[in-house]
Amino acid sequence: MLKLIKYELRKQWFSKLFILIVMGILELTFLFGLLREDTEALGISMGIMVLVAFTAIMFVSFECIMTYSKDLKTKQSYMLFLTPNSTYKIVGAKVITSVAQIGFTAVFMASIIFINMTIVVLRYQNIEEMIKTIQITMKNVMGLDVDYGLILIGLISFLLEWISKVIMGILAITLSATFLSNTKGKGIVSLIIFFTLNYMVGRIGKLFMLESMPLFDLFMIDAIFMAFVIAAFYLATAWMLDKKVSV
Amino acid sequence: MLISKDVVKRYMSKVAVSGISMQMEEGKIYALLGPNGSGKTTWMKMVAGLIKPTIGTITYNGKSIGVESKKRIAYMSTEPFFYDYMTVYDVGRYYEDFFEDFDIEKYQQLLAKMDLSLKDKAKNLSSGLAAKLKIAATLARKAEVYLLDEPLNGIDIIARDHIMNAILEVANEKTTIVISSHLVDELEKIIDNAIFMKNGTLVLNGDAETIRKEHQKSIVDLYKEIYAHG
Repeated sequence: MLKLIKYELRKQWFSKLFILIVMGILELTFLFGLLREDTEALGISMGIMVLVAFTAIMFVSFECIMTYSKDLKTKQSYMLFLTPNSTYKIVGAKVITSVAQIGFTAVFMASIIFINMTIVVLRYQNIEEMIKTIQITMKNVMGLDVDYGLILIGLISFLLEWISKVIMGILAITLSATFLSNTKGKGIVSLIIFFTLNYMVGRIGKLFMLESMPLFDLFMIDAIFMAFVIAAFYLATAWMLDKKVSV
Repeated sequence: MLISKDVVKRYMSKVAVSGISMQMEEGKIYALLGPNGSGKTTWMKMVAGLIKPTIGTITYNGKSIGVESKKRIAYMSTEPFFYDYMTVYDVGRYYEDFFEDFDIEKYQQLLAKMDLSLKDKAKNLSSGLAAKLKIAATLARKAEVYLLDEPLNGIDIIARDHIMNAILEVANEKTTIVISSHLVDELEKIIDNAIFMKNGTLVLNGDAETIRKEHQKSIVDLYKEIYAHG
């Protein structure tokens, strides 16, 4: 499976390089602002970094789906399906690569932003005071004790939810290419199935999460549930391909 | 032994392959003949594990087509299929990574014969050179079964001899070679068995020499006779 993962990453290396270059330019702008004490440059570069971070995560996610779609719908699919690997290994490699790429992009972006924020806070004491004020306000008004642990589990939960959508997209594409391959309007049908699955997962997830639960526990349960959802969708995708591969 | 039993493949209302039953033994070269749309490629792709039959079974050495058969069956499609980013070198490395029977030295020898450079990008190759690359990658495997779908398509007349020689080099008492081609006269010289397909069904299947004697004509002439009237 490592070899499959290696080639999956090679297919999508260019976009990662592009993201790295863009972040590099923004970081240089940030450092320039820091050295020149140019708060405008600092603010603009940080703002754009946050925007780029979200855009990059979304782009990497869509790229995973589009690469998978291309692998099923073009002759390049032969490269995968001629190899002596089970569909479970092939799909497993794709899921692992998708999770790793999205996760790594998110962690990378979050780390750079966090480090930059920390530098700014240390450099400009009034920003640290502002952050403390925000934390106190959230605790008093919304009852939210925002600490780094809560932020971390919240981000993990959000990330796993996002990844589950990507895997759901892969499942829908697989359905269209296998069991629905001889159906007219298969694209629309698989899209409807995607939204239906999305809705069902949301409803089932809510069964495990009670409103009275602390926010940390809610995020934790959501993260665990999403991990199961990802595993279930992976197995369903691999099973469908195993039964009805048609490339 | 490769056995196809009552194999049917349907796409919506179209039947691509219908009731294909045949056995292919080791040590023989089979010509799979028929015009475009006769079902040759569909059948080959089912043997290669790229598509599943709608009905029927295909087994190799008693086991269904799957991971184990893919270790032993080498398939070469009509269309180019290498990843866009790949160079000729990358294709070799890919095959080496996934196929235990891939011989990198033989691959390089075949590339040299076909005037292909390791640095060439697969997507930028002309159709003829792309075809040669596919052949080199496929024949560099020491497979037990070779499925070659139109291996001479787009190949110049001089290079065809190299390719036919390369095919004969992999032929031995242990290998099964199945070649589909419209260049029946080129195949006639080397085949042991001929299989004629039309509209997804088997029309004629048997030993090439026996077919020639029974029908009192060459495989080429028989091909023209079977397919001339559509």
